[in-house]
Amino acid sequence: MVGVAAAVILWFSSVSSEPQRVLSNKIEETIILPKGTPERFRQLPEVTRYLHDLSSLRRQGKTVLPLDNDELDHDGTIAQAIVLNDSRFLEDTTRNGEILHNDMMQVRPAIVSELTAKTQKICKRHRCYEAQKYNFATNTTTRAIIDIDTKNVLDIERFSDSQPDINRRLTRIAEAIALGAPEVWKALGYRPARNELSMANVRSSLQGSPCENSEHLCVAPTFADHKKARALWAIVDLTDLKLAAAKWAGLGKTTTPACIDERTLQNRYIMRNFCQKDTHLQKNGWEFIYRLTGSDGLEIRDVRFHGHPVLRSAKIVDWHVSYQQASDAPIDTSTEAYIEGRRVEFVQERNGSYFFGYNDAMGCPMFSTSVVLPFNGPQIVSLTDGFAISQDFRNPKWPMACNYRYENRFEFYNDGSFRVVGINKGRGCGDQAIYRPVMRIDTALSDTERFFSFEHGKWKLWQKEAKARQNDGGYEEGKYRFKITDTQGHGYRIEPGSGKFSDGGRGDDARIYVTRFHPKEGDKDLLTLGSCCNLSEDGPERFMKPPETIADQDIVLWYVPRIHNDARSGHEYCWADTHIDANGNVKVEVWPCSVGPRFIPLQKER
Amino acid sequence: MRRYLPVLVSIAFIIALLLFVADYRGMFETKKLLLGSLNKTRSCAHLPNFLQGLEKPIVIDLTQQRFSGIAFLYGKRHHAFYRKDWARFGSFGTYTLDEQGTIFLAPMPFISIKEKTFERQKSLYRIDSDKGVLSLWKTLENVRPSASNPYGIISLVYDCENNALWVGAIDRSDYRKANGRIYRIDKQHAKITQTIKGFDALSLALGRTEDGTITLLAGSAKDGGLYAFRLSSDGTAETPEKLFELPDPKLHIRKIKVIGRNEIIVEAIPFSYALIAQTSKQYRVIYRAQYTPRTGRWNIKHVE
Repeated sequence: MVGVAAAVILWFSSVSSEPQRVLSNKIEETIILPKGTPERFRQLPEVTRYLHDLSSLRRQGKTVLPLDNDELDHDGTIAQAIVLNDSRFLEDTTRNGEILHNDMMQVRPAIVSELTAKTQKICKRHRCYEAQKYNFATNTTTRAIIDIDTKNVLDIERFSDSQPDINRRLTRIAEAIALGAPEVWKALGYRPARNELSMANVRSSLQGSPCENSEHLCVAPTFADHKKARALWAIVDLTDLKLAAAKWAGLGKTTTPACIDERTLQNRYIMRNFCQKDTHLQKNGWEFIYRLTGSDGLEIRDVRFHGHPVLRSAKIVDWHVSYQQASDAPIDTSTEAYIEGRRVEFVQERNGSYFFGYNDAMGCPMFSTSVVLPFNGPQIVSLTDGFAISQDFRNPKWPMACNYRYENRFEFYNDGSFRVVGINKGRGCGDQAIYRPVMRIDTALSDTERFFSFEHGKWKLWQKEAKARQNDGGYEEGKYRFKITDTQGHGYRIEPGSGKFSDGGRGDDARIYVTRFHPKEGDKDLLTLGSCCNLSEDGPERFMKPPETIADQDIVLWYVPRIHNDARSGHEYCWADTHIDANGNVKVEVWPCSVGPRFIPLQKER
Repeated sequence: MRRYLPVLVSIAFIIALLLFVADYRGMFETKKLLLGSLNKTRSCAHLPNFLQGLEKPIVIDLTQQRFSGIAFLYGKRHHAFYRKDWARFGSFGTYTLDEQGTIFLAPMPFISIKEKTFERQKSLYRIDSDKGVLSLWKTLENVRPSASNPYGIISLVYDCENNALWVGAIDRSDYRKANGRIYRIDKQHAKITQTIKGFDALSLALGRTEDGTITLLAGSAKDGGLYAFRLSSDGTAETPEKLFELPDPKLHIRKIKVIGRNEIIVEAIPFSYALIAQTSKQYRVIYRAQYTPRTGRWNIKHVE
């Protein structure tokens, strides 16, 4: 019988391991990024109750949300009461008088082997408990050892950037978010029940937090589909109480929760869908393709409106970032300087002040020269009279100092007008920043285009490649500074931003350059263009030497706004800051600045 | 039926025994493919002569934080020894030393792309031991970095027993495929003597197997794995074998140090072939890997 049993075991062990390995190799990874806002999860009863509990706690002036009784035995209840009255345990629960979000996570009998020699001696004789709390605002776990018999806290240790096992309350919330996410229903093809979900191996998932932001507390509830040997991993962010991402993958080794952090999923999703291929969009009479470039951000190409060509390409190729500083001493620019690991360029002015800064390239998250990375892929947003396509780019550590966040946005209106928009969301290195996004707009009206500027009450045709300032000439009807047409007079009037677009913009103060089209001058990816900090040059000048004829030629517009940021309280602009929100978590507040010209069809004006 | 039961049980037992033996033999054969125990190689690295007068310890600084190119931090207070002309070829990512104290340097693109950035990624550089003069040592014309992959030569290590440099380049790889190459360059003639294709080596080091064979260790830029290439008697590399993979899929091995018998320290960084490469110390994660010959497994532990 032993032999039979052994044969059966061997037979099944060899059979059961092989198909899993083979199948897991065959399952193609599918990544799902959430579409809706995180606020939708606040309607879930588990989340509502939790937020209510946190709110009540703060009203009572208490700082740590205790464990529910169903998680505590008799001595555990005593241990929790002791530790929640210990000032050392609670000392990191406030900052500048504000209560930070702290939850008790575990209260359990202490394991002697994990104790120090000193506490080991005591705990061999007394009943000892271990209590853990987690500080969501600082991503810190605090562990205390409590002597139940003497009612003393024996030892306290704090572990920064460390996350504990989660308590039952948070487990239920994670499950509720995973079960309540429409993205999960869609991926599974039905609305799952609680018994289909597993939260196994939660601890290992926390060894490398799977969140986009590794300073958030995240877990990965899983829905297994054994028939197809695959599983849907849902990454739930318990700091922001939202679904962060989800992934279909095989049941093999490489799909353990620790292997599916949100940033990695985002990178793969964006590479496959927007860097490796073009996407076609047709909406409201508009039609174009879009893609993410290696260093020129989001690009739209072959734009048509009701079948008529409008743009060959539009993109923001660079953000020049410079900071002005006063200095009596000459600046030594003979060697390169670096701030936060990034090369800084210095340009000395005649008056003694100097500019320093960077050139920020935006683009694909992998295999690119980009330093500001895309998040979530391009989004299509509805407007009251049209729609927009936008892409969010961020330094991974934004909004920390010297980290940046930009949005590339193209707005398309039902009347045939469109706008190229650059949005800066701070925070940068300081409050003396000058941002210059370099927009390349290649119109496709015909091969023979004409460019005009409004000067002294009349439209003046440009014959040769040249530059103009937005604020140097006049405006037709108070808003149109330039126009571009074909030889028949069809085309667009151009309205630079002057604070009238109802987006909080304070005006573009733009320089516009018009060059003759040459494929090598930016039709493909452009590397960093020009100096970050020499304000007398924006970059496109290099394509105007010597100036070529542009009248009745295929031309390209370069539009370079100039924005000064503002960090003064009540006047913030191109700025971001953090504060502690009503739940004691760190929240980012953003004061964006939007720039960019709107193109209005001339046909409509007639 | 009862009569045949002992016979059936015996047959089943024999079958089970045969299956077990076959399975065990299979395991044994698999083990034979494993690299086995690994140890340090003899280091021939010599301190450059031009640094001899400086207070020890001397640290080579390639962080590009205070100095572009290369600098030397010496003494307990980390005084800096730096020459402006050491910045003339831009940033460096890694180095190796030979027995005369010559420093060989691999380039590294750093945040902002400048006109010469891509060109510089094609070459290896050297600082001579006596005068500390930085010069271009060898250009690999096949290396062609671009906007869609700004990296070229990225890793190197010197094999003093075979008088050869092993050099990794990753310029041809894209999102889907690793098209990197590892070159073996004869140091005396600066001539390529072998090219291993299809491997993106973010880091290179040398180890020695139990039978005395020198092994080239390579950290992959494509995954978190550490691979080993046995070197044959003429010093050329054989097919690689994956030793282990880091537990965090974001991380790739940037530095390898065999510290003793069956013990390796690796430093890992997030790397995605974009200029956001997080190479500074705050992003480095250090693991200690220990090999157990009995099980044929590597145990990976996070150190800091």
